[in-house]
Amino acid sequence: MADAATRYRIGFDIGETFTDFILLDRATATIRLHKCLTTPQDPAEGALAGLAALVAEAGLALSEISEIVHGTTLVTDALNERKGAGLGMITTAGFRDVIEMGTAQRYDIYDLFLQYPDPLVARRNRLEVPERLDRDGQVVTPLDLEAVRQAARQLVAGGSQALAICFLHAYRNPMHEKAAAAAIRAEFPDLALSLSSEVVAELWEYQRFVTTCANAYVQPLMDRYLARLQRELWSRGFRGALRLMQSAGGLVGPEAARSFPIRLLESGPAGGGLATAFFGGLVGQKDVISFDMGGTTAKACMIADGACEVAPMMEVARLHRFKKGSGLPIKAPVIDMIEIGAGGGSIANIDEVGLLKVGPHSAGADPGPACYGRGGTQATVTDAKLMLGYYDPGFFLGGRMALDKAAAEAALASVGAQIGLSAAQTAWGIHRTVTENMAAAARIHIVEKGKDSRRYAMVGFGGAGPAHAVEVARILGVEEVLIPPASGAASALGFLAAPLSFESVGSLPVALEDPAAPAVMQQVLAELAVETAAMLTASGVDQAEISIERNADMRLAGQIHEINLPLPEGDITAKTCRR
Amino acid sequence: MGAAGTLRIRVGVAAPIAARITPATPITEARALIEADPVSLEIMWSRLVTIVEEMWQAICRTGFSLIVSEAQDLACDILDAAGESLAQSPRAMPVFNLTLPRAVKAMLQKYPAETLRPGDVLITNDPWLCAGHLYDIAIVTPVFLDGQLVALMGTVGHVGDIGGIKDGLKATEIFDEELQIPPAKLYRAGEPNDTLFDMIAENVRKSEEVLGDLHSFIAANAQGGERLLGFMRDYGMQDLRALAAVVQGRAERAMRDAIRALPDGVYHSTVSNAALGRRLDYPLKLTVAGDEIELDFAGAPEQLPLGGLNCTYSYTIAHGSYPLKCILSQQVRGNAGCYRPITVKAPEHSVLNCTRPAALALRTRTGWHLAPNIFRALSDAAPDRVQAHTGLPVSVKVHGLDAKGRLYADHFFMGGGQGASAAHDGKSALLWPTSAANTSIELFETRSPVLVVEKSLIADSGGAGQHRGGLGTRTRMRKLHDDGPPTQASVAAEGVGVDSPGLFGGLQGGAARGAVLDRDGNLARDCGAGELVTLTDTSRMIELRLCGGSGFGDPASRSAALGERDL
Repeated sequence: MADAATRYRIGFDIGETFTDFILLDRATATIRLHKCLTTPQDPAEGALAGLAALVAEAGLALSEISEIVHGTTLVTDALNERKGAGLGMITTAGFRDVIEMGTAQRYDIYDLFLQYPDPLVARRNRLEVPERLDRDGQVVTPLDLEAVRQAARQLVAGGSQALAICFLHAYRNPMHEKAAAAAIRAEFPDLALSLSSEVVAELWEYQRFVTTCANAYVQPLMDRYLARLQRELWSRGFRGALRLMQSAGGLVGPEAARSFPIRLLESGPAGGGLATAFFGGLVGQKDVISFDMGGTTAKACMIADGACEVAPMMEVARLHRFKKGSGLPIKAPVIDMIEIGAGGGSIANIDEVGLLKVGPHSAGADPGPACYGRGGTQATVTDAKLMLGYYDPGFFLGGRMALDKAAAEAALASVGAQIGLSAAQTAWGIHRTVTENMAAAARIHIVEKGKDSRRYAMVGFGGAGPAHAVEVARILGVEEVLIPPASGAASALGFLAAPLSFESVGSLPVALEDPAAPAVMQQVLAELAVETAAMLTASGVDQAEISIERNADMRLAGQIHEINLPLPEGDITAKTCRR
Repeated sequence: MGAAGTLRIRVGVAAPIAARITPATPITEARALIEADPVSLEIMWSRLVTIVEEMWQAICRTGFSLIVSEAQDLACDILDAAGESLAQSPRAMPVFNLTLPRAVKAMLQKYPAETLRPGDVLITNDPWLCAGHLYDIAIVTPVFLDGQLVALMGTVGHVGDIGGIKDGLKATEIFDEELQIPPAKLYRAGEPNDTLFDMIAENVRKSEEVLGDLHSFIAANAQGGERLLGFMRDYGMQDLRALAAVVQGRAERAMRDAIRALPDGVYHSTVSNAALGRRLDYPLKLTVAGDEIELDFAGAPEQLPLGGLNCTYSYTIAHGSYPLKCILSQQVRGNAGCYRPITVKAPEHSVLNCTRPAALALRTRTGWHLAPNIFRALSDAAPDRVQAHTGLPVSVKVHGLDAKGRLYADHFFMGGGQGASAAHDGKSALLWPTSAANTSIELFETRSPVLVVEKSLIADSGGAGQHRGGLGTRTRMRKLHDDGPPTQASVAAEGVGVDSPGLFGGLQGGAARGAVLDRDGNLARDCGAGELVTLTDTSRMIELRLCGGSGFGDPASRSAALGERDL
């Protein structure tokens, strides 16, 4: 039983439209839920007001709260809307265009006019310095520190508030990046710096450089936001711990969040993943698929044996929401979820071969679906669900908003007429199409993981999740659907189920048959363990309470791509390598 | 209700939709049944595409060579029992999807459907039947339901090596280009054809890598076949004939509608390239008549005795048809129907319709010039749907023995600048008309002892215009160590000496060049149209400059805002 000092914890999630709060009373094992509108101009404002309202409703003060766990779309929004810092990049001579070239691949083979996201750093702010390491981390060209200083001066003079330092093969040997950073810090102690060898110490220069730039891009923003939040919470009497949710499902303290803000990219959805595992566990289901459908997107993630799968990378700021390759690759661990479809606002249309398609265009919140009565005339998923009776026109948002069923029917009839369907048939067609498409996308994801969906239960949440979950489950062959209470604030609830954790990655290409392999692996793992533990102790965790999980990316000799496998506990020996 | 108020719902998992279509159902009736439910049709069509997408992803994840797994030089297909394309991997090499049906039909001719058995796997790399050179191997796996052939799963991929001459520009016959695999059974009812596997292994460099890639194709086909049967069971289907007829018919109709919207007429255009330094012209007569298009390449040069630059008819048809799909029917999922309204003619024994024993390993250097010709021909009829010349991509192949005597051989892909269009500037660095990706510098270096010295965009290399072409790229590389054994590298920048003016007054982009440079970057030797360079130490490096894209529209009409972005 919790003592008074640790009785109350709060989770809150700042989403696109709503900020959700959950107050957990560990003494009574009860939760209290609160929702308020997000304040996009200054998200802290809405959050602080909501926190005040939440504790007031409970008859508490912030000083009685032991811990606040927080997730935010700040990082995603900054990248999607290009609202980050003035950014400069210092890189190996000859390679400043790596982040602009990308993979040079066309992501739609029939579209001659494909557009690509602009690089996060404009060419004039990408400066090269003499420096080069080879594939083994050996120096080919020594680092020119004077060139580094000059580049930094030029970038700062040009308005850069953050710098990304990205050298080739730095994942193998961070020496040059660290020396460059030290030289810059000596002259500009307050400048935000991101090093590719620290942000993501892995081979594949394009992904590593983009991720490092993205981290630098949001560093000043995150720093200001957290400083403000901490200050305001302190002045309101909060003396507990503030933690942030990372995309991979672990919590970190504000310092780690400031160093690696890119790891907070998907913090809200990660909470949803954790909540899924939690609800599955409550009813004894260890293998669960989450199905989270809101106003703009639907997402799914898989829980196997009670734990969320973690993927090594994702894509942000896509120009085409469902086209892989149209965004920026971010190599940071993330709870493995995929966007499997659109939300309630997606618009139905008839395509060139005379078939009903839903999306990719969305009516958004304004004008919104036809039934919102705000001038929308195109039939959306929400209109179809109203027509089919999934929603009560008189009790939407608890009766705070009236829906116009006639407008929905007219919009549906107008689309359906093009291929000879009635309004009701069209509504059913939209519902089925959306459901089938989501199931198909989810199935690909499940198959990519090498899993069979029929062994899983499904947890449906989010505003539109419960309405579609059963149909999606049916197509996937899933035999049980769970709809949790508080399904509208599942992410915030999930935060409270998260452990403090941190992930560090190092690169060491090695053949297991090499007699020297065990010793060098052991050394790299030991260094990573120290680095990781330091992050946690800095967040206030007792060294004795830290447990460490180790994984390795492995492949057959000659293959290109790896799969991630857990390593056994204890020292790595020749015997471990033979297993 | 379950623990803590969670609502638990048992889901009755649907039994397969009753089999309304049996083999006895007349095809017109079966088609009508499918057409009557457009919502189900859309879902079934999507699922077919999902199956090929999964196959493609499986190969990208399990392949062994850089060219397959990283550059993704491959495609997957579901073909109906007649060998016509039914669904194609949506992110993969279009030319492979377009050439595969001819290979499959030839396989079915040699091994008629009634003689095929579950567990059979077919193979060929015949350039006249398939993708135009020996590196592209087709693996085809028949799929059976109740003993009947219902479909074939196909993969075409470019393996890392096929043996033969390293300097492809010196080849005079296909025999110089080494291993020819006629349509053959690689597996017979699940049993591997060891003789054929051994033959392949014995004749290619890095045979483990080549066989590893082939096994990943075989596994992907098998996985796709299982998925397809699962799909058919879900819908209670006993064959795919009616569904194939419906989706191919709809795709065909969409293409015909799009062609009909073009003004009828005969459109002429010519492009040129430089084959081993000699200028060759490729006249095109493009006829739009009602809902059909004919491309006639009459006047194409005689097939070339040297250099492997010849295209097979199969390859020419593919490179003629694909650009039309992009222009006319971009949104429609690819299948055989899209291409039925298109006819491609090329004179026999010409460089666009070569006959045995022509050498053809480097046929992209000819075939990749067809798309801009088609765009030019249609530029007046459809100015907002075409694109100016794109700087063509190149892959450098490096070979050698490392200090420990182990063979290395890897491809390094790079792209030129995209051509401009009525609405957009071209992107800098893009691979076209292939769907391949470039190669990671770090990954490439870990596999071959080569140091990439520079890879950058070439300033001002985009052709001027109202919209400008994308920038071309410059890549330099050298041996990593002075360790004795030489490194051979193919330095063949496509576009050297080629005129590729823009459209509507747009200008040509920056020029291509292949060269050997000294340590300081001074020119030691220009490699002209192409050379297999031998690097013996670290004092020399190779350089490839790829063309920038050509411009679109009068440069004087470029808006000030766009000009600002160029600075």
